[in-house]
Amino acid sequence: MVLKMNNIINTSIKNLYLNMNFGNVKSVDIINTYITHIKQLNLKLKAFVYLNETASIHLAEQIDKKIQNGEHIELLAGIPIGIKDNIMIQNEPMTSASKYLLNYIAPYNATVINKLKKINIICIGRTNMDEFAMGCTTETSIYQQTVNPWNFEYIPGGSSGGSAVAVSAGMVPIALGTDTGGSVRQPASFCGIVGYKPSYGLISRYGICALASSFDQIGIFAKSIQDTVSLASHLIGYDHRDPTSEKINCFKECNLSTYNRKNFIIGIPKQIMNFNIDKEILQLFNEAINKMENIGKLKIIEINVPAYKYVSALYKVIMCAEVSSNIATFDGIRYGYRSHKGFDLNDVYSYSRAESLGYEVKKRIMFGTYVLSAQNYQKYYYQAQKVRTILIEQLQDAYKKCDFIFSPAVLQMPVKLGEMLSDECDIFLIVANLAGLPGITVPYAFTKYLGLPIGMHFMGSRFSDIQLLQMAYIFEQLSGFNASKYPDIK
Amino acid sequence: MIKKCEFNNIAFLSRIYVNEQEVNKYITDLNKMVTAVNILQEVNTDNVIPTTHMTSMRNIWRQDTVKSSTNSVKKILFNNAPEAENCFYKIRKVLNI
Repeated sequence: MVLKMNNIINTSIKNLYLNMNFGNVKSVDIINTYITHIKQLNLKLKAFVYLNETASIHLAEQIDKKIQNGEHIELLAGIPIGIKDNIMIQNEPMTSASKYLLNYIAPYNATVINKLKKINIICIGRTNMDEFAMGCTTETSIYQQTVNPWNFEYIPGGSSGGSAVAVSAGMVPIALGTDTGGSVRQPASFCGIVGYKPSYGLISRYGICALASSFDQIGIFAKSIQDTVSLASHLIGYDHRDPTSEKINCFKECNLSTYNRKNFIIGIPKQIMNFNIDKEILQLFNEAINKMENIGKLKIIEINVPAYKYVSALYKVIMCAEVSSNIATFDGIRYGYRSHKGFDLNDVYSYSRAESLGYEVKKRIMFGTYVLSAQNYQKYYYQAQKVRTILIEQLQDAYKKCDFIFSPAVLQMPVKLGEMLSDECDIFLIVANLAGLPGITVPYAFTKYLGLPIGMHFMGSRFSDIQLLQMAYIFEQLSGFNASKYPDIK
Repeated sequence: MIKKCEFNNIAFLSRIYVNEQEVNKYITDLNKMVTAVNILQEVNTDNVIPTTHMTSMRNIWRQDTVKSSTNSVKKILFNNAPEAENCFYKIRKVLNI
């Protein structure tokens, strides 16, 4: 059976691989189909900022030759992937959606890119994002406004909004983003797909444009848990170039069918009810709990994590402090934008940064500088680091009683373009970044009021990534969410 | 609360020139953030060890030897420089004398 062009988009990556191997479809046909699809849809969605057409087709031709010669190809070979514009691909532009890096060409590959290239996954293009990943709407990009594929009047979430939209609309089957405070899982929830952030240290951060180094983690977008696992198994692993990389090989074999659901205990922090959760999201959350308990036969318990109250403040202080430090390297000397104003070196720094960085970025740098300044360091930054310890200890206690913490992914539905999301919208996701835990958003339902998708969030203990994905797989089946549905874009 | 004098110092330390028209907006937004994070002061953190990072970071040592850089690597790096000449970065004067 020959795979028809219009069926390529609707086929899982495993089936695409099988069809390529059986000669039902060529890698070149797959890539051409996706390139055409991206070009058509990007006019409306504005998810991609750069398309690597020629190199992608060339690599696809090489893969077809390998198959013709009977050579073995890896599971994901020939599959196109979207890459967030803050991950380096050698000799390609990497701008982090900022005016400061508009002319920057990456001098080397990020470790994840080397891993993708090793198994011949095709990096088809770069996806839009908030400037330097600072934002949760993809509105601070220097390029364009990416829109939610289910309703163009609404935000797609962010900061990895381009990657989320690209996967949701079928422009690519898988994509990479970065998650510092929910930047993969929040847009995944708003766009109705899976968003996975591994435990901190499992995927190398070498070659990404850092935001807040103690929170940053590369994450995965996919339509299904199975596709997520297929990609994660290639990316997770120790990297000597990243001093925070872990040698724990917890992902050697991840078989989704080996779980025993009776053993899983789900914890619900009683503190989440203290937050102002959208009524319909809360209703769906309670419905999901009932499904897990009554149909899934999973044990649900209440847990106590009082430090949830401080999550937003903790994140603001530590993230901005780390931003202030990381962005100090953008000085207009060795790379990036340089202003022609001023007379001395200090003017070069100050005018270059003033003219090329957006308001949100500058605000965060200045707040980070404020909390790190001599008179405020103890009061804010040092205190926040201590409260972070308290949060981590409370979570460790909670994980003695349960395997996963369950919550809605977000507190509210996407807002219209130009409107503000609540300051605490991503609060449940940020906990995972503060404590280095794995988290995953699984699409659950379309809301009745706006007709937009919404996801639920599972967070596991540190390095429990395999169990977390198994839990997400159970929930994916329980939810009844139709993952093969694509937005109707005309 | 951050006042204009302190804001000017923050902007200087951040190496960001701020237009006079934007100063008040920044001060308002930064003060909102200060108010929001003041909640941390209510936590008793006596005898709590601060967390700086989730991993036990280690130094990565290498031999203290100079490796030569290829011309192609130099070319890539200096192509990204706003101003460079013969593999040197060009900057403006450092001291105002």
